[in-house]
Amino acid sequence: MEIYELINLFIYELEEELDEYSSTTLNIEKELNFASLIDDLYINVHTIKGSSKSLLNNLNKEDYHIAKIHIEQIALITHTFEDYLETLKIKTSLSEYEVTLLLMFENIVRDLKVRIEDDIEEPINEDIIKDFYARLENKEEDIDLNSINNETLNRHFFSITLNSDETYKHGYLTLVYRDIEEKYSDSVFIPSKDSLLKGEEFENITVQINSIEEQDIIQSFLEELENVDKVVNIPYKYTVKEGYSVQQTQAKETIKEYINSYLPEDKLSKKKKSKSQTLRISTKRIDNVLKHTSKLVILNNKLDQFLLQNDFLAGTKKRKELEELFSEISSHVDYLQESVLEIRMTPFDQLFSRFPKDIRELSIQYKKPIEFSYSGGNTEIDKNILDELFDPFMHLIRNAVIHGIEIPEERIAKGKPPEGTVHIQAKHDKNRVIITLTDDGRGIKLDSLKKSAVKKNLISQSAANNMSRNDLIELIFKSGVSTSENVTEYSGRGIGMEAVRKKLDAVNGSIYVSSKENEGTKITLILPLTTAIIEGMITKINGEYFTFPISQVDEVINVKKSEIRTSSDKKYFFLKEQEIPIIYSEEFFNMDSREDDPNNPFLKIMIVRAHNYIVGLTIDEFFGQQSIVVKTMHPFVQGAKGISSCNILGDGSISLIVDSNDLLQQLSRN
Amino acid sequence: MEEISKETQETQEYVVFELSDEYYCVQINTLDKIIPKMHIRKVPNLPKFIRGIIDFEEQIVPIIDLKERMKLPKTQSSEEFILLFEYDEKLLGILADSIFELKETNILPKKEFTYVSEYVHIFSDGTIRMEDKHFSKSRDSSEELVILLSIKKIYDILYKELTNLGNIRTN
Repeated sequence: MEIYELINLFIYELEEELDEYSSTTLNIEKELNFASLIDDLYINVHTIKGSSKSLLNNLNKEDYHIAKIHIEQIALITHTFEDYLETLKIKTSLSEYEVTLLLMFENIVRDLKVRIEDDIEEPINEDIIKDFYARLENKEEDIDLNSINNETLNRHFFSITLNSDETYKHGYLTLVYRDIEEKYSDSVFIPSKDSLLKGEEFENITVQINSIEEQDIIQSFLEELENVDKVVNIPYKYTVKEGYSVQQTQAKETIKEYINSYLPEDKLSKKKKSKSQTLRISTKRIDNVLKHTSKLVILNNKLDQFLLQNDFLAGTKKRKELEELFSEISSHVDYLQESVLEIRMTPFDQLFSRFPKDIRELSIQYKKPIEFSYSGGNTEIDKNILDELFDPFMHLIRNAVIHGIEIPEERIAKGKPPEGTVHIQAKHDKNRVIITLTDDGRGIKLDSLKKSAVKKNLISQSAANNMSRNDLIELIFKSGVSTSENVTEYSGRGIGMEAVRKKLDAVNGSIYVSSKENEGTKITLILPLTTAIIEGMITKINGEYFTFPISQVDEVINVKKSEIRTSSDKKYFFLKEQEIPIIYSEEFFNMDSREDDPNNPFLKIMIVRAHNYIVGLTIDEFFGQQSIVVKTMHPFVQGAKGISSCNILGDGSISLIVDSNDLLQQLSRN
Repeated sequence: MEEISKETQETQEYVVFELSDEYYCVQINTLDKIIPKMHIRKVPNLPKFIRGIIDFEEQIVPIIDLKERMKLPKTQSSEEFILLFEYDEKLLGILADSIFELKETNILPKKEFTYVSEYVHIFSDGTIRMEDKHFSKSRDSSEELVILLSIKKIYDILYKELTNLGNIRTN
């Protein structure tokens, strides 16, 4: 392998380990399942150390390489940090100081990673590294103190089996968790409390209890809990005061084994299986595959067209063979295309899990306690789109924390809880993803916004006075608004909102802002699921091709002209007793109107769906369904009402993709 | 001022083309390609000066009709060429009636429009006030006025305009 490929591989691996590390530290902050989490961190750090060392060995064969100094640094820092993590293993909880160190480590390694990726020659600031090492050493003394405190604590493990009552299992589980926690505050559960909150159900719980009490006392307490069927003590010979040692690690392993043996077999094997099937591939390679797949889809459509138009060998056996061959190729092209798109689908977790760290930093920096949460992390979207979202999101989050959320004193005075909340939610909506970011801060002050815009000469005073609420909020997307010092109330919000919008434009997404003064701000992002290949219905209207995404189409029907009714300018007809409004394409697309063909008693209508509405759009010809490669539109033509994008047909001509959501707007306008 | 005197030493290359019997030019290094006009697919519900789109080397390229935008008179001359510019990593096409010549000159574009003698082209500095026409109708064959177009400025003006019209999706 070439050196650059080795480095790339190292970076992928590093990214993956850091992501895992990042989400683990998040859980540590929530104080869940502490001991095993530190183990997880240890494994991440150890893996990074291993791969950086092996890469160094390869680099040493070269004379010089820009990345070498950074990789050396990673190897060094992971080596020291590994030892530090060892010392944390004996703890039952982490102090703020220790959590900061965990985060510092990640920051430094991420910094080094960026330097490697971007070929930055300059080494990382020596002071940062020194500071980090100094902090690591400081901690050593505290650890001694802590272990003295812990001297009298004994660690016990119990496996608890519950009465299996199918109906209220989850409720009982919650009670058991709560009761144990009330009595022994630093108990740790497997499965974690998190899994419980996610609504998962299980019959066995393993719990670690640190207490001065003897084992049998704890055991009898557990046995007397409601709904508990059986309590088994897991042998654990070591008390906490013995500190960390090789022996302890072994003991931990036996516990892990014990827990694993307790898990149903198939679950375990499944877990292992999925792990072994993971393969790291550079996105560049996938994009390359997609590019060629897209091309193949177009060629497939072209060949289809060709066979339709040319009837050579017609009626012969050879022709039949040719057609069979073609249909076989077609179905494989379909599979290929589906699989390629699946590869690119990535859950939002990957993005969202990066935020807690930054929010924590902001929260400390601005002295504002923030409660951050997100939901819908398993919602998937094309990786190419996801990758574009980090910067805009970071910007929106910074805005929310710095300018939205008030300082605790102010919040209390307003009757709000002192901690500000920031919540992100992702969910699917047909072929789109909708993300909302809400904060409960002070909201956008429209008056200050207006003043700022007038001051900056973006709008005139009289125009400002006549502006609607929405138009005013729209001002935050204008660069320059709100930077004025006179609008301290929210100076800053607005800077870069223009950039956020541009970024979303680039992936064909959109952004809406709504806000209530003193109650908070809600930002809604609407994103396409994928930018690549979709199924479409090809039609012709007035001599021009139009494509309807299959996700928006119900059916194509012929309606007798005589069945079309008119009421106050609206045309409609009945389909299965449902009133369906008709939109005339020529009118909607502003095309030259044609004379109605009196010989044709029918009107061909495409029934399209958007949200909960159904509309009929007139079409001339219908050519059936095919896979289409959605082209990226230039911003100049993106805004055409009723058109979302376009695709290229087999004969090379351009077909415009209809956006049925715009049809609804037209309807409500009438 | 220093910069200007420095630039006079250098020769600049321009493509001079015709729109409604008037001469316009662009710096060659801002131009990506010149292609013969091909079928342009109309896109509905857009301002008239966006003639439509073409599929050029797998890219969807919007075609701008400057004659329409600048309210230049309709003439007999047909649109034969499309000038392709790359801006913001995307191609943008501008219709031209015909390509007049490729011109090399070390004469700097002037801010004011002035007439000078034979074979010398005077350029504006790239500002093009799109609502106005700046030139006289009677042209002397020895005195040619060529308006230098700046693709960046055209792009910015159109972008702003389309945004105001709500045609660039910003919400």
